[in-house]
Amino acid sequence: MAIKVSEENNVVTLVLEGRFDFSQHKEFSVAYRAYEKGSKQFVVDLSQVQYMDSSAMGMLLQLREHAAKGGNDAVVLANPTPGVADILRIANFEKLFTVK
Amino acid sequence: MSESSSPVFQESEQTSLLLVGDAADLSSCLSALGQQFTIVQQCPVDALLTAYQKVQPDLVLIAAARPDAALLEVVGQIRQLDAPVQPALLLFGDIDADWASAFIRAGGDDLLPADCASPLFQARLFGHCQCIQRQRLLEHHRALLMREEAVARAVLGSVIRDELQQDMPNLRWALSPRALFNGDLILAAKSPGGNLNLLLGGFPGRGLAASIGVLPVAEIFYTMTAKGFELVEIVLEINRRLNSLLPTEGFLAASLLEVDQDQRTGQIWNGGLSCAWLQRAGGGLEVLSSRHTPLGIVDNAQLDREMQLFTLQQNDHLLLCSSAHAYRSVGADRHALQQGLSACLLADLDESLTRVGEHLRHNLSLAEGDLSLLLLRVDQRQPQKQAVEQGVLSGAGCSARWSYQITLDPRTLREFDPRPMLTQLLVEVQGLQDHRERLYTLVAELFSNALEHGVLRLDSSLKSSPEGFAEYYMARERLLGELQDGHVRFSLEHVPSEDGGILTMEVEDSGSGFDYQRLGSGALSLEGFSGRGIGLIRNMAEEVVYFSPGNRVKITYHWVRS
Repeated sequence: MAIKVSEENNVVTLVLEGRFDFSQHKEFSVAYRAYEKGSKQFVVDLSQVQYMDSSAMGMLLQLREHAAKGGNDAVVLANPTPGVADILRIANFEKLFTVK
Repeated sequence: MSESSSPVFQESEQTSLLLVGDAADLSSCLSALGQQFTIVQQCPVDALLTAYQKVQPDLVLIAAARPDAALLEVVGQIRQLDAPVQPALLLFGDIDADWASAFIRAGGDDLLPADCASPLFQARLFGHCQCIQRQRLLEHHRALLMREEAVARAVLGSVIRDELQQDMPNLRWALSPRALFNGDLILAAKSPGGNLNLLLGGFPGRGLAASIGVLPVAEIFYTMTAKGFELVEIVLEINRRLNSLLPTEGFLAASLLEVDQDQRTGQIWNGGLSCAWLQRAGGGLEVLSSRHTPLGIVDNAQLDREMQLFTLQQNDHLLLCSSAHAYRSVGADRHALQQGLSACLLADLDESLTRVGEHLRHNLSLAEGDLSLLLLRVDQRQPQKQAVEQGVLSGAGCSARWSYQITLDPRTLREFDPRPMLTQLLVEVQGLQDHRERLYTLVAELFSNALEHGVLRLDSSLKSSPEGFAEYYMARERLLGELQDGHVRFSLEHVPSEDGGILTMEVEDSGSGFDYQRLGSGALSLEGFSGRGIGLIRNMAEEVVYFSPGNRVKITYHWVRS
């Protein structure tokens, strides 16, 4: 899974696709660690992610720690597919992230 | 293999070689290769399998220029053998492409030139040795991992307490056999007051990293339950510990449940568990949905502590399940999942567990054994067990004279549960460990009467119906939250006696009392006035005295030195 990265106005967008699980750990981590800790807000585009597991949830938590401080706005989880949205809802991740 | 037992990998100095073929073909190899390799044996082709099994060489060099079906079969057999590191199977000679291809496809690794002494032959052979070394390194790490998992298995095995099932006949559970590897956890314990606490949850990830949190969580759960702490306190303590222990990406998605000893009410805290259900005997299914983030992510100040209350009736079932993969199909077919559940619940609880497991695995498309399950059936309410008759309540307690008093104001009453602490005081200071349950029950009954009926002025008749129970506890929460004035005072005293000691517990509340004279002096039916409380206290304590207007009570508890 290739992660497309783009940046605009201090917000970094990561577009993921396919399976979001532990096999993506290194690539995902490299993508956001390219930016200095605490300096950017992030948008994770999940529109093309069909499958997400609990490791991926852990990875999102790591991203949240790396992002700029500022509550739930720091990381936006965008356009999750229904299955993924369900997962985020069960974990009550909208209390930690902005889910759009 | 000696390399596997030490954490540091040691490269072997020599690679062992098995030469296969006619003696004539091999004679030149012996001199060419004998210096750099340990030639463990020579054998003809038809003895290859036996020789291989005997000497377990790293490399097998076969001189077989012409196609040989029997050789291909042996190659296949060697590949089937269970070896930690596979040997390199090499053919050498003037070999045509078809034979070469057949050899490789059957499991062979490479073709080498006919001349063993040529630099090319030697170079390629050396290349294969390097491959073998890399395989050995991999095998070394794998063996270390297996050792780690064996240790984890032994340690974690001691945490899950199987014997509890005897004490809880209406509870069944099945921990996924791969629980070690997917961090699933099931815990069950009874509080001194007789309530049943349950936990089912899972850590993300695999292996030791996923299971490392199991130990502290189990310890907290068992210790605090035994001391009579409220479920919400246990939730907070687990959260606090996991926050300090786990890395950012770690968490525990779990449900914690408390079922009242009478099995009429219960409460649940669900943070991240997708499958938590209350199947009603009448047929309806209630989803005990996850309302909180999993444990170990936010700190206690931000953690949502709201519990969901529910009432229970005979033949209701509580079902929790956890699976690393449950998230995968969560969107898929929850309807089908929930539909078939009630059909799985039969009179035989073991059978029910099996069927529920099958049903869930089928609907979640899981492999055999990839699910952890907890099933509780609400049985007929047991009549309150008779408290131990007064008589020889013995212990090895100490003969000291002491007294202790604590006054709890509204703010303290809101934030602090004195029951575990007071019980602990009595148990530890007095050395009355065997009496913990009884002492806890006494403290708890006295405290709840003082707080709920005295200070909050709740009417206990509300508790007589299942719906009333839930209403009662919600009113209790609300009134306690709004409380401005009032107090509960506990005074404890111990004096030694000839045969042991006498414990006196006096509880006073700021309420207006009640008509205690109506109680009479006889032993009351335990189900009678104000529910269980007073009868129970009377059965356990030697003496119970009320003081006008009924907002102060003193009980005496006599223990005898064993």
